[in-house]
Amino acid sequence: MVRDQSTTGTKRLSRILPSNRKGVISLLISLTGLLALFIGLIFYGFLPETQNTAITTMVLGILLILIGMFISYKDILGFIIQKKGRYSINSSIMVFAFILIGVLIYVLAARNSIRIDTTATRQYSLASQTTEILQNLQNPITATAFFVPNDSTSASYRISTENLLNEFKHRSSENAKFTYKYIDPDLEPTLAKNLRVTEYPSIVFQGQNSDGVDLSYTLTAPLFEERDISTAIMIASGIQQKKIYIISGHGERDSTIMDINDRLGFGLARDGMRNDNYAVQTLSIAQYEIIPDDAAALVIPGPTIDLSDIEANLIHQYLKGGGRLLLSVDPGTPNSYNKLINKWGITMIDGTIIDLGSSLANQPKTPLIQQEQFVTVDPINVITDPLSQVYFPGTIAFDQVLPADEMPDYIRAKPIVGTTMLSCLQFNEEINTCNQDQFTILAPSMAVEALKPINEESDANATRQAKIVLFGDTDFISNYHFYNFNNSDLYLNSLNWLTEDVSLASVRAKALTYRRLVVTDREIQLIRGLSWFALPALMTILAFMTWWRRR
Amino acid sequence: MKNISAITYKELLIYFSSPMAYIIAGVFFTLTGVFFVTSIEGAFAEASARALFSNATYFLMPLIPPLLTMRLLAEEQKLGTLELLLTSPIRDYEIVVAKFLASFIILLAMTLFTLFYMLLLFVYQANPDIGPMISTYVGFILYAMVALSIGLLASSLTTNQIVAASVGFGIIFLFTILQRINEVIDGPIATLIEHLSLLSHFESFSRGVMDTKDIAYFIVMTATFLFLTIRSLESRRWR
Repeated sequence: MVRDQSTTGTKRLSRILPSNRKGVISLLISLTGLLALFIGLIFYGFLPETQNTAITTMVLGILLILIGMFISYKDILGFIIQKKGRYSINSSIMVFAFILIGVLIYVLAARNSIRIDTTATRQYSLASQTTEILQNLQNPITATAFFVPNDSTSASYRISTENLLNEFKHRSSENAKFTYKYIDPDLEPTLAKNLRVTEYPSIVFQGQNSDGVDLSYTLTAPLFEERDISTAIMIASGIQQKKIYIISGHGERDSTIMDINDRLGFGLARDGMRNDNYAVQTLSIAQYEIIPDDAAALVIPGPTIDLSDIEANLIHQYLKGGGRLLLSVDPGTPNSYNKLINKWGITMIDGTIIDLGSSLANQPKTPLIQQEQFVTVDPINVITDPLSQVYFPGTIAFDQVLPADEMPDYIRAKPIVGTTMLSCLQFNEEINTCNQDQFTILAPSMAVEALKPINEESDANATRQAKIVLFGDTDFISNYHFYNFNNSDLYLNSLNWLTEDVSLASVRAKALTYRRLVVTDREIQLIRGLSWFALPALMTILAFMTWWRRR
Repeated sequence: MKNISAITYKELLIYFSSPMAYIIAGVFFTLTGVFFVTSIEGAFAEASARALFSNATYFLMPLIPPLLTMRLLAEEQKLGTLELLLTSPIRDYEIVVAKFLASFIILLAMTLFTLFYMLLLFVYQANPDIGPMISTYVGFILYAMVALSIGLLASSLTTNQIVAASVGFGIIFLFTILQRINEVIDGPIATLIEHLSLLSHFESFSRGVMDTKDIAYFIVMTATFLFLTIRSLESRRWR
């Protein structure tokens, strides 16, 4: 039997192998050509630095195949003319044509692909601005994510971050400028050291600006949202940063304090501005008596000392020239700030807001603003659209200096958020309630767009309108409260609106829903038992019944 | 259509009259059960179908479809009944499509049984997101279509069922691990490999994103392997 098989094998082999010397030479040359082609392809794919050698090897391989075919062209021609040859060629052409059509369909589908995000919170629907940033990338950007596999902090961010990075990669697939890779820093400590990564999880974005200068930017947890990654890409690709000046010298909040539990520190807010691709500097107007021309916006966080007349005038002139101001005050703020904003149609109302309709942890002096309390009309919607909840621990209210029908049309002032109807202003610190006749809706935050101040001529040099955002509280952006609810988003969105970086405002964090299986040990035992045994047991019974019936 | 439904029905009857299909389903459910429990037990595990089917595509897809399809054409060739089929007034594509449909119905039924695990998530109020769950199932079913068409091609190439299953396993496994090769290479070959990889096209589905590009890929791949199977059958007439 074995002998028979080997005889059949030899016969088959002799049918394949050519009988004459010319045929053998032709076969050997063709096989060598095929081998060269294969080696060339491998080198081309796996060792890009040997690309030229790989291409030369492939060309040589093709030449050898052609030479081999030329030597035995009569045999090849004979095969083609035969019935078997004709059918083979016919079949090959059909297969080739079918694959070609398939590839064409796939390429067309890939070029015009439609992506449907089925997640409840549209987790993978990147903002159009993000897509625009990715499509406008001139130089490649590489994100290197350092995540320790067994670390619980890394694990909590890993899936959502990878999903997001993957989506960024997908969206840049047309120009293929964005790529990412995951690195275990314990396995590659040298790489982590070279990229100056000291804490995990971190993502290092590396790119070049238009002049070819290498740039890098590092994100650390928890800043792994779409906005953070967009900003990191913008920084690593050298997109010019706008300058924000934080005014100092009037008892403002300290922007150097980074302690997350500090109730007065402004460091996290400052860091948030940096993460939004702003160059942030402090500025003492009293010292320099000038507001730099490159100021994209001025930020005054919780001043406690009056502005001098010179300072107030400098800020006023800056606003008249189309300047931008983000002012957050507290109950008891000196009057010079009220005077400053009065000229732009807004006034501070004395007293602290008490909201009996919606407050944080039953503290009526900390109004909790729910989604429906955000003003979503144009142009405020840019600030408020994606937000769901913010709170102000002790806030004053703002109003227009004139009744609505008397406000000049060159000033547009709108509340950003409103309290519930069960609100009032309270002057006594001990009292946490309102009389029924005091109930009204109040505005703890307002936005103003103005071509010129009230009763003043416009600045001849002004090329754009002034914009002001006012908050009646500064505590909500202190380190202690900054990352709670949407506090940071509201503040940074306001800054983005002022500096007209609305792209960043629209790519703020999306709501994440808790989707975990929380069960007791007994329940998990039951789930385990059902999952492991229920269906396999059913199949075993069915298999046994089938076998029994067939028997 | 009549011919297709007749052959499909006959194949389904064969599946259900033999313990083999139930044994394969038993293996499938044992492994998916293990994957499911693993996917929900981790510290930051998400209540979804994602981890379950990501593991299933990696470990079960190279295994189960070739086992389901290995008999379909290989046995017909071995017993000589394929000649009867080929000489009867039935077109080659009808034979291939019918056999593919029969195996697909079996695998679809097996997949739908795994909804039992999703039911457990709802019973224990894990609040799973239904959208990604549906997209994961759609992706898995499309993946299964490609794997079955590869298995059918392998079955058409040989008379030995074991050889057919092994060849099918090899091809599906190759298309599955292509993505892993991408981790060590860059450049145009890496891009080409990514386009060819089954897993990279399934990933979007498992995350809850349905992309027409990925749907087109799975359909084109299925059609291509079925066409190759038809050509393979047709070649018996002139080989």
